[in-house]
Amino acid sequence: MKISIGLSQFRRVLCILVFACGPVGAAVSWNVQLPAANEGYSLAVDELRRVAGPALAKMSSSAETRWFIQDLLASRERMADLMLSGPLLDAPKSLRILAAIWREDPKGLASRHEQTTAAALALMFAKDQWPEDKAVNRYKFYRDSRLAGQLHPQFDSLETWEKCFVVSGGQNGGWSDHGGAWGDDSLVWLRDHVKLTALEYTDACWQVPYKLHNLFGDSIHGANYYAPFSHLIHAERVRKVGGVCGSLSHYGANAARANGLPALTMGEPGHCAYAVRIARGDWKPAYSLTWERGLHTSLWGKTWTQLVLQEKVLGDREAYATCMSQVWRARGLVERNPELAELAYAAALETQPLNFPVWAESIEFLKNSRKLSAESWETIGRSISNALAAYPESAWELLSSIREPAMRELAPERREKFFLNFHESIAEQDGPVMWAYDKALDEQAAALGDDSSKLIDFFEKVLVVQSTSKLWFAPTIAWGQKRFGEGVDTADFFAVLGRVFSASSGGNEEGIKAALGPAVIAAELAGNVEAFQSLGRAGAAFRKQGGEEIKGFPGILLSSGGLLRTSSTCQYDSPVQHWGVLEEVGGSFHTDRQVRPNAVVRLGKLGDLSGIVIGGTDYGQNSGRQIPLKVSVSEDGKTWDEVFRSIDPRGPWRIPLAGKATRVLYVKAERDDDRNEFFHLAGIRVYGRKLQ
Amino acid sequence: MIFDPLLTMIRSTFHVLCIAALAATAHAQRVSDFGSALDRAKSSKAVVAVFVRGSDWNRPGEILAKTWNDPRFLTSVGAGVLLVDLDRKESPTEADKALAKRNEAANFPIRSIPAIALCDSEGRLIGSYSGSAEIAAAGGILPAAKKLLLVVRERDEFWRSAKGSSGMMKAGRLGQGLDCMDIGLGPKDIYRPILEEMQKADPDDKSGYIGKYMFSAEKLVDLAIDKAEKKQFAEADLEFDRWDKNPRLSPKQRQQLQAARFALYQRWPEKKREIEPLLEKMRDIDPDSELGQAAVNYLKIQAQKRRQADSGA
Repeated sequence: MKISIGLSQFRRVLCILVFACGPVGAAVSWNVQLPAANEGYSLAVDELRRVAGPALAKMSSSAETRWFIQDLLASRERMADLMLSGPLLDAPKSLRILAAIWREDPKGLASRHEQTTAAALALMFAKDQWPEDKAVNRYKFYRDSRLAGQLHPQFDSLETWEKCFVVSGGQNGGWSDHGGAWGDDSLVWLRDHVKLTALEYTDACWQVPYKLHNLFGDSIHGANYYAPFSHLIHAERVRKVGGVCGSLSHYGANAARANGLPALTMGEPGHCAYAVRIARGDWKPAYSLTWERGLHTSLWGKTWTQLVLQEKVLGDREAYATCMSQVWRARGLVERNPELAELAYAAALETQPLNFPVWAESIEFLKNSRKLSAESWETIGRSISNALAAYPESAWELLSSIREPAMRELAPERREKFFLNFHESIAEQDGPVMWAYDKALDEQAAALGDDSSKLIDFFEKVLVVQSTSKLWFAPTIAWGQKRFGEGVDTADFFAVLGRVFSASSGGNEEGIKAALGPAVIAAELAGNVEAFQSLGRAGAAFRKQGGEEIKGFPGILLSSGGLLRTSSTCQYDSPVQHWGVLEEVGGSFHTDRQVRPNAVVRLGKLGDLSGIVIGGTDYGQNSGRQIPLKVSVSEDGKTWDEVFRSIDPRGPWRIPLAGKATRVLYVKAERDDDRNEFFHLAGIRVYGRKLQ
Repeated sequence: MIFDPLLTMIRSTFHVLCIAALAATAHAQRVSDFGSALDRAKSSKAVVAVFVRGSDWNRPGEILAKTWNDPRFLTSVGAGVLLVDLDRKESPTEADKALAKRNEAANFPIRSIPAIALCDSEGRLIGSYSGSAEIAAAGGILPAAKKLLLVVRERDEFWRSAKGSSGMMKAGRLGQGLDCMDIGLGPKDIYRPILEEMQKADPDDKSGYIGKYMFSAEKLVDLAIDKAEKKQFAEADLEFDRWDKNPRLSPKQRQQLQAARFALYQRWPEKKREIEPLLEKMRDIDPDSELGQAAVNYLKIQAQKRRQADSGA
């Protein structure tokens, strides 16, 4: 992808700086052409010498490792394995690990398969706290398993950077030794006992029973949960004893890794999930309950967006190599010729505008080494927004890093525009996943000061930009509601909604409901639980009170805190009432006339259901619209199991489900006939034991 | 090499196949998909053996597939068996996808591929071996299939004799049939109707088999924790006594029962001193079992705790 405008501007900024501050001649005469293949290779060697000079010198002077260093530096492929597989975090440690593997298996390493495995190990085991002396064993595991045909064939097609996600099995992205946790012994066991298709590993976690207490009644949070089963390999005892989200997710992810597939675990609020890469560029989240994921293994960054970006950036091998050549060139110039370093960074970004770490490094360089004007920061801000518009979370991460210097230089009247540019860029973009958009708005508001009238004004402008956005519209309103919807700013907040949505009676109840309605529907369509919840609570004042008393089932109300999505809406529907459908307070929804209308509930918590209670809005004249009522449950929202059917027009319909729906995240209520008719209900309350 | 034992196993399997081929005249039949196999099984009262593999990714499965696909396999397993090859491909063609659709009902819980599963003429799982390690432990794919066939024959023998009996005798025969399979009430409680039949025949559970098949170690632990929280210790203890009187519980269930009582006594100040005898009892039920070993380990943990407390004092 070429981001010619943004990057040309960026380049112009850099050139302006060069002309203003430095030796013009040098800038003009500097060759910023893309480096030739040979040049890239020699730049890689230079970079390795720069970051690991003393280690290289020491190893070159030792009889034991001299030949290894000579061979490494002479091999373009092996240099690329090491230098072009993501950031080189600790080059001396990586070199030591690689040399140790080489010493162990010089013959085996004639194969490219083993070379890339060794390089991936050298990169991953160089991480902080990882024991370099254990890398050889891990290497042997993958070598022997591959040669014995025990790995998934995908492994043979993986490049070094992809193998980094395979060889890094362990605990929370860290090393685990034999016995205590997810060590090599567990990998062997998982390889031999859990062999599945790539996609099936996303379900492998459920081979482990979800149990908070072991059979001795010891809690998973204490020391004795697994301790009595020390005679078993950890993976085996997890399957036999049980566990909660952390054990289940590590079991699933390490099973995939033990069989040669990239996988990782990830933290979510109060939960641990995992992901499996089922094909190149195709990561599938598993046992994941939210977009708020913190990757435990990553080449850079911790967010899901960064994982997607890594695939784009490292997957384009040619562009990545060229980009990194320019970066190495820039790094070599930072001290002695910052003007030229700037040009090299610009060239790197022009080659690969999505390369997030290069953006971050360039920005750090600019912040530390250059004094930029307000216009320059504006240009850089626009360049970032343009280049990474399809990845709003990453674009904001970079913009956030220049927020302070930019605000310092920009005149107050230009600050708002700095952020609005970002909103304009992302308005039409969905991004790979939801992200902390509300926190970005918080940061933007903080940067603009604490004048509440100015902030209301900013909110209105953002809302205008995002009012057509499929994804960012609802969270913008939800953010405004949280910030201004209560207290002294409430009237201003609703006045903004009234103006933006041209509600004729902006400010009165109907006008406000009319404004909130589309936002609720947008949140439902986008699957944005947080926005749905926030807007649902905002509509509390307009909710009708006194719904029917309904007796629940044992356990907690799993539907509470979830999301409702109806198959259609109509003039009789009041979306502010949707939130209550999932709660004890009650609510309602009303679809349009359609064949097989339905409402899908995404539960607040994944659960083992004890029962569902469906409440109708009408058991009289219009009760026929609600039947034949069919209720289904699903773990993924795609494959449904019918659990109830009724033609009785009198509700509420109580559905006992103990032992029959043991892993459910979605519940669907629908009218199952061919009539073109409305459908309305007052409650879909789901009870049971949470599994997260 | 990892596959050496496997190759040896395959050689011996072929040896068995050759002998069996000479001896047997009736043979099994291959059917294209699970749906058709079930249709035929229903009318002929045959059983269906399913071999799960992944021809485009799973090498261990392909090694076993050679035995499975050998014509002598048909004669070795004998008549009354329908064989279905379930190929879970990574890159299925349109024809493969259509076939997978017809195989949808074969949704047994398979933990590892290759696997072999056997189900009865009603499509209910009899048993399975998941993964080459389990299949190898059973002696190979043919011995694994034969073991499963033996299970279904034994089960059906019990269930046939149950038809001619009543009361606790009937419940006992039905329970013995379930015992043969050793899969509880099966995936998704497919054998719950058998349990209901037992309850109808023996409402007071004089046979003890109803208790055996309603036993849940997890529920007993939950009961211990719940009653302990409410300080209703004696109530839970009585419930455990009731379970302890059931003569039909398996050794594993008896061990689980001791563990659940241990969970209660750990929380019951007056009974703390009795937890070690519980662990010893659990160990002695079957010292070589996994739970027996767990009890031994827990005794060590308790001893260490005691030593630490003594040295602290």
